[in-house]
Amino acid sequence: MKQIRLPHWLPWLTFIFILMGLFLVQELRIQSAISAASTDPKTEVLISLITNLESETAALEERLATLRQETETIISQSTTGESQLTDLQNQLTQQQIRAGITALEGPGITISLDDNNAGLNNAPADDPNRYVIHYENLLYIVNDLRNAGAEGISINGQRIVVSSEIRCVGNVILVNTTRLAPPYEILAIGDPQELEDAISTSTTYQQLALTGFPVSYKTTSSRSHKISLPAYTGSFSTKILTSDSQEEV
Amino acid sequence: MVFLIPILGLFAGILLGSIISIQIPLVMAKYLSIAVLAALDSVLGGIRCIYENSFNGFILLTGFISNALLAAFLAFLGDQLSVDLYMAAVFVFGVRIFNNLSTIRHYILNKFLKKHNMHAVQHYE
Repeated sequence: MKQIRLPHWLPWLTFIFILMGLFLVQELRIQSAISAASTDPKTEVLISLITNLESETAALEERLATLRQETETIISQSTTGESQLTDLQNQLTQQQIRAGITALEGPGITISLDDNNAGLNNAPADDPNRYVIHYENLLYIVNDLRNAGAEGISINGQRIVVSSEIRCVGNVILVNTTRLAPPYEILAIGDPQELEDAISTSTTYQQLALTGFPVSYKTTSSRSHKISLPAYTGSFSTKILTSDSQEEV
Repeated sequence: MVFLIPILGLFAGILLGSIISIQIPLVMAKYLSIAVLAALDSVLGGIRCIYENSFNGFILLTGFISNALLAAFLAFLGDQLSVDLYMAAVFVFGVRIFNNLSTIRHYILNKFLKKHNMHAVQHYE
């Protein structure tokens, strides 16, 4: 080995070593490609599906908004002094307010709910389900507010209307088929005192507050603080129903 | 330090493989891993033969190729029969690698001990 002349085995071994290095790198590359690919494809497809559908919804909502605007301008144009028409117009506005397709403003209450992240950090072994806001919590609080005569309610910018749903899909809450994420802010217009009473005695709210969730509410005491609710941007399905001709519409 | 040259060859191979990007289908992963094992087996067998003064480059190369081919064939056959036949090749290569390594270790140790006038370690290979 200590000769200056290179031993005869050297080129052979070197060649095998080069081959081994080549194979090794290719193998590593393939393995990393496999591990990268195995986690992704299905979820990626689903994610792209969701984003596509969401952008579709957004586009449709935009179209709906312009159409509603058009209707309004047509209505306002067609009123040429006739008192009957103004009456009808007022009625229509009232109906629109009731349906929730107009933005509203008024006194009321603001309720903030958030996941109990601090609690989960303190007890990491515990069931994480006990530390997140569930759709039932939102639903029951909305029901409590309705019970107390709330005239308009929204959650994180989603107006609650007749057709609104509050449901859970996997680990997200859907309202008006829009995904919501904590913290949740529930706005309600109504008599502030009654709404406050309803929330302070609400079992759902009390339970959340007692188990350490960061929850709070604030009523509009002064007139300067008004609650503004956004308009419902979705559509109402009227594919199947027809109005009963006997009844006054 | 002549024996460093093959090690350099290993790094050269790694570098070469990193620079040229050959798209190898995922199905080949199994065959490639067997090829890596076959190469490691051949290398250790070759080093052992160097100590035994019976090294022959052609035997080394043909051994490597035939072992790799047989292993690849076993893997292919196993895929067809849905039996993990390639595990047989992996097992044999593994055993041989360990055997060769222990023999080489004994040779090196004996050489070292002889140099320092100590008792030789008996080896069983």
